Amino acid sequence: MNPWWSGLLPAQATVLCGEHSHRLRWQEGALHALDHDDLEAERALAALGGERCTCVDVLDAWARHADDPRVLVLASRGPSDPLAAQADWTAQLGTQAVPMPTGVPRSRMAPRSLLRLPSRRRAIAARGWTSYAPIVSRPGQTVGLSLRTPAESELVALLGLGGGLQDRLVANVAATWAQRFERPDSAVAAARPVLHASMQGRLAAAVRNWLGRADLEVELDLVASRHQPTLSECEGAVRAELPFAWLADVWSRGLSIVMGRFCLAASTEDGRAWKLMTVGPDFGLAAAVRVELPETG
Amino acid sequence: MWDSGIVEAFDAELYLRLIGEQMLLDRGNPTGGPWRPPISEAAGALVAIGVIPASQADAVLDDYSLAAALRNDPHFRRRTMLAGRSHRREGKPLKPRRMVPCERTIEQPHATVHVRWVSLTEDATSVAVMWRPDTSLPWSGAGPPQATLSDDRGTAEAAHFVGSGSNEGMLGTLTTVRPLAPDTAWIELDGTRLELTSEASGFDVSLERLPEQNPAHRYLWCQIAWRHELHGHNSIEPAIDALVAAGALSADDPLLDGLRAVTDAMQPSAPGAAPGMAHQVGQIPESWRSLLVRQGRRDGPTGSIVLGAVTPVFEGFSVAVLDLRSDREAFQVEVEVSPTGGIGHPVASDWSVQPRQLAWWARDDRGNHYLGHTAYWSSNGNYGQGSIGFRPALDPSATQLEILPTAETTRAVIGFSLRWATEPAGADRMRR
Repeated sequence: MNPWWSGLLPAQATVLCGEHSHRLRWQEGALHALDHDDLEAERALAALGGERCTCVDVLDAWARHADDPRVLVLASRGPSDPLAAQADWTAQLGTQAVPMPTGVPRSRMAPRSLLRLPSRRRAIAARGWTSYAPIVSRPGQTVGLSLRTPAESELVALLGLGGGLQDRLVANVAATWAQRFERPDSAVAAARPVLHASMQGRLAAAVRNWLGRADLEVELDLVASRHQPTLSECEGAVRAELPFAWLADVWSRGLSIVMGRFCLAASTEDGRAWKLMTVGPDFGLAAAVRVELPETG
Repeated sequence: MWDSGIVEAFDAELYLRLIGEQMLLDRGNPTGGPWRPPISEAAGALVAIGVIPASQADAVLDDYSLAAALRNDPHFRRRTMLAGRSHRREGKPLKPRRMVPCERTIEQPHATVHVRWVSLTEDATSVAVMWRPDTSLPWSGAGPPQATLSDDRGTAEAAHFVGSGSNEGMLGTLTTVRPLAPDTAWIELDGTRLELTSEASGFDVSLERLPEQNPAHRYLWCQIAWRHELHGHNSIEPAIDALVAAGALSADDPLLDGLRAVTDAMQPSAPGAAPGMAHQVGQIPESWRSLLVRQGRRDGPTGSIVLGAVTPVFEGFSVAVLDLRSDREAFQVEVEVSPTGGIGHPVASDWSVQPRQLAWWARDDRGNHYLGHTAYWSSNGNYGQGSIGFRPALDPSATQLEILPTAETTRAVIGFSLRWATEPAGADRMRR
């Protein structure tokens, strides 16, 4: 079985870490801080009251949100739905203590107070959308984004990383929940409305874009992965029967529309050659399309 | 008891989230409008009929308000759910007060101040004024400057103005932060003494339980009463859709025609009273029917009545009705409300499930009903104060009036006789 990240190219972003620009690279399902040799030492230093390391903060936040369904609610629904991501969203990391369950290793504990940030980062944070004060409306002034919890601040920061990392985080969350859907439990049941709605939003955006009909009604019937996926049109609306795995297997890989056809499912034996089950704009019989990634991919 | 009709498989959270998805997809092509987002309207309705807890609905709204804000959508940039949630705080009982009618005109260097009444409580002192700037001088549009109030104990306090007006002047109250002596024999307004010798009109205050009603019907009529002059029925459609989807309402429920007809007829731009319509639609409650029958009349009496009635706490609200002013087209009451969410307008930036709210009804001894809306309001955090404007005009033959601040299942009844004091000339023009 191929890992969930098969076919997903590496993604990279730069963050301001202390006084330096550092690279964060996602590759093969994990985020790496390329400009730090010893992350555990950085964590220990921060835990002892030393300067915080943004790269470590991002990695820790990433780990905390890798199965957070709220990622799917907040992140982009596709190219037609860009976030107004601002670089200084990331500056929110390290500004608040994140409550951790008892027993969490010290090395994974959350960043601490804004007061411990270097002055430059404090200035960046102050310019950002972070708001820790009660919302106060002044005449002629728009109240900005108000982030209610440290976890919410972290999540927004991750979504603002740029360089395609937002898409990789979505792919990670989608893949995690696609696996959980295979063995439904109470957690899946509780998250189902979030997962269903956020997938339907992405599906609708993709189908509307595919057919060039911005007001098209698109319905999703979330089915078990053993069911045959379908896409049909009925009374002017498009109805899809898809498993949640479609989000991880197809949408996250950018395979929703291939050669003018809508992709219902994607599979691979080796991670390079992909077999796509597709349907055309006439909603006729599904047909396979094969694509192959270059070796360097 | 009502057959709820709720669809067993209805997933309220999914329903709300799909509205949220639709809003995100449609944000490049917003339908616009001053009303709250459809997801909030739907959430309020679903919470009202008990198919989703308020906390769960709030979590959904929280998700999508943040999602919209992350997209920098100008329609949803303001994310004020916290403010909205504060509306659901329980109110503190308002204090009884000594109300003293005080018709007195004071000439100041650049304005004329007509004092209408003085309210004295253990917490604050307020003086209701009509303020007219000197018309021979250019007026910036600003209201009265801060004034100083003092009592017979030698206490002096700064008082700030809250009110509204037109280019004719302003109506409102000067209120101190700290109180003057409630039993003072006089107060001075910027050095001009006002003897406090008169007494307010008598009144009766009681609470009245509302008749049992289908929860979906009750919710919709409450919503219409709350926002009747702000929007057409478009703003209520997401709530109707949600109630129909949940099975709490039939899509062909005759109530809906009545509801939409009433809402359209209540718009300020609606053509006249449309009395015929009121009889065509059998599903319109009597209070609404009588409202429409007199709509557009311009035969109201002119005058004012000082009251100072304070209700017990009902459904978390406490209300003080301070005075009533009437003219040919409408009448207004000056009120204080605790908590602050009981007065004010729904705002598009408020994503909260259901800010606690009051509908402002009134009825007279001729069988007429009147509906009020907030003309202006302000808040000091503990309570809101402002003016509720009622339409249609008071029936000139009425001798008794009841003001009915109405919560979900209970309303306060503040009854009094319509014995008028004459208002100074021009007061009606300030209220326009």
